[in-house]
Amino acid sequence: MATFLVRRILGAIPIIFGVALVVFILFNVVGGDPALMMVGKHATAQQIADIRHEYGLDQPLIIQFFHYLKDIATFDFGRSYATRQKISDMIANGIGPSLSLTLPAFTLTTLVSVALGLLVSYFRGKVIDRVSVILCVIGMSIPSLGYILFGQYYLAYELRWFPISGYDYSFPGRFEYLFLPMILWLMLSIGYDVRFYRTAMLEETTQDYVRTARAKGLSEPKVFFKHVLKNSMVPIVTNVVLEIPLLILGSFLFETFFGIPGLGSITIDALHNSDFPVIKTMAFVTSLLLIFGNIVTDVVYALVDPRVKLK
Amino acid sequence: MSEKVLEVKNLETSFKLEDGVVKAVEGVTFDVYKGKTLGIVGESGCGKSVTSLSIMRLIPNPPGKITAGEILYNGKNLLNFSPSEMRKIRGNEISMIFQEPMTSLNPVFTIGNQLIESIALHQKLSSKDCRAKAIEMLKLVGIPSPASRIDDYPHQLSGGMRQRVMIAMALSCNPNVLIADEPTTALDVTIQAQILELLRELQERVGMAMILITHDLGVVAEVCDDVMVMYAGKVVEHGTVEEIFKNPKHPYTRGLLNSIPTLAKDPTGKVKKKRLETIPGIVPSLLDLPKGCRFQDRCAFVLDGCRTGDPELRVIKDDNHLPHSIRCIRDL
Repeated sequence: MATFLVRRILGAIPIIFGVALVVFILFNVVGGDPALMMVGKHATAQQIADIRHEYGLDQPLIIQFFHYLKDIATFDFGRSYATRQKISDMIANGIGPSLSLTLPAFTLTTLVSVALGLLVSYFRGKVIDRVSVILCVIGMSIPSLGYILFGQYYLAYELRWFPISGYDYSFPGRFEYLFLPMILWLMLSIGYDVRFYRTAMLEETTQDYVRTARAKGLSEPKVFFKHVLKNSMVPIVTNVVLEIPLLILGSFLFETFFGIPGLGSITIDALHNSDFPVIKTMAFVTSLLLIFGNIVTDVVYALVDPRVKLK
Repeated sequence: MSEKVLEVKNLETSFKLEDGVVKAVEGVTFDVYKGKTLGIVGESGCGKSVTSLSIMRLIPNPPGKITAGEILYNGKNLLNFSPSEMRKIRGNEISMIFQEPMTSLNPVFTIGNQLIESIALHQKLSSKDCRAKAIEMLKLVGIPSPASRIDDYPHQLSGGMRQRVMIAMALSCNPNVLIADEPTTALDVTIQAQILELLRELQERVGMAMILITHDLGVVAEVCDDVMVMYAGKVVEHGTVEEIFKNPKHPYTRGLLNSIPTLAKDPTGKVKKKRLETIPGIVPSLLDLPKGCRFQDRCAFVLDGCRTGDPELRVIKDDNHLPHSIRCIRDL
């Protein structure tokens, strides 16, 4: 296990290097001259030259790339064009609000979906299963904006159950604002998730070992909740663990609509303002999280399935 | 002859498919005796496995259903048993081993866990005694160093070892009937012989009745007392092993016997390579059975009469505990 981790982390270094190269080429070579983007249309040649010099953009590309690598290694991503804030500070401040929304929302959704998935696959083919199919398809067919508008207009504005939008940095206070987006997140994901978990579990029920378990004289609940469940944990865990790193990035949709100052809305604002250093950093951080998410998935895999050996 | 443990009478199991209802097994009747072995033989799709799963009442429903007949275990009809009564029979009174040892064990639990589960379910033993019993069973089926092997996962064992674990599991509660559904099909020839020898030895020791399902007549000759040949869901020939191997009367049984490879020697002592005989054609689809005898299209002895009426099973010789009967209008 320890050797596996060391090797995978060492193996991640060239991948991170590759990601850095791609991001650098996209933003500094393909994306046009960053200095021109920054100063706008009406700048004088002198202003452009000054900016170039200030950001080191007048140096050869290879030197610029080298500087970029050094910045990555020291977690210094420079400053935002738009707000002049340090990007590392922006990220540090955004993670809190993002996780306050995504972590509870994701946990709640996963628990409810796995439980419902188990329930409907246990009663496969019965009324409860068929009704769930209809509800899931309806749920998946409604666009996400439909849920948000319903929540903000009907639940928040008409019924006044929740604030319409906003955020409070105090600890329990923030949840007054986060409650509605959490419920909407649950409604938005549950249709797809229940279908996914149901399929994962039903796939196992036709396996030979299930027949063996029945031939022993085990009761249906025992067959299902012991033999089937543990086997279907493999796809379930993969699905869950792959999502976790992305939770740090927050939710573009919910943070924008509900005015939550997390990483999602920071990214969206940066896109609006063509704030290249911020976008570049977020692109890089996303890749980094995915790389480490994959390593974690492999480790968790081995914990659930004894056939998987980490070498 | 010893006492009857299991009597199957006119068993009919149907499956509802998209294209219609098929009877996978029709009018199957046989008895299984204490300490004796019945072999059920036939090609793939002839209804052997459906027959055995019907006895266990493990036919997946839907689409399958036992539509007629009786399965008497010690005189009581299993088809009238409630699900919970049936669970007390399965694995305890009637056990089953399957043809795919590679996939029949749950990959994410240790073999000990699965073995102990069986024992704990049917016997009132403390968890320590269950484990001891499990180790004893593994030893009985010839697994080396069972006390440490018990904590292995199925993927750490070979196919033959896994089948031994399946046998240990099936026998752990001293069943009266063991159904072995092609227990050696997926194994190497040398392992096959070991497993069959093991089954025979264990049968002698505990005196259980056995149903051995196979498509290998060589295995039947070696292990069984009685044999029942099935074709397209029906019994075509039924009798004692001795009688059927000496006087096979149904063209299908003869075809099966002829398709066993032999190494005959010519008078000079050289091995003669004989061309292996086969039965032409394939088993008809149960959805599209011919009118009359189901074997007619592949039969070398077919008459006009075979194409009009479906022959009944008729007794041709009755001088044994089990009369020799065939489903054929000809006397060959």
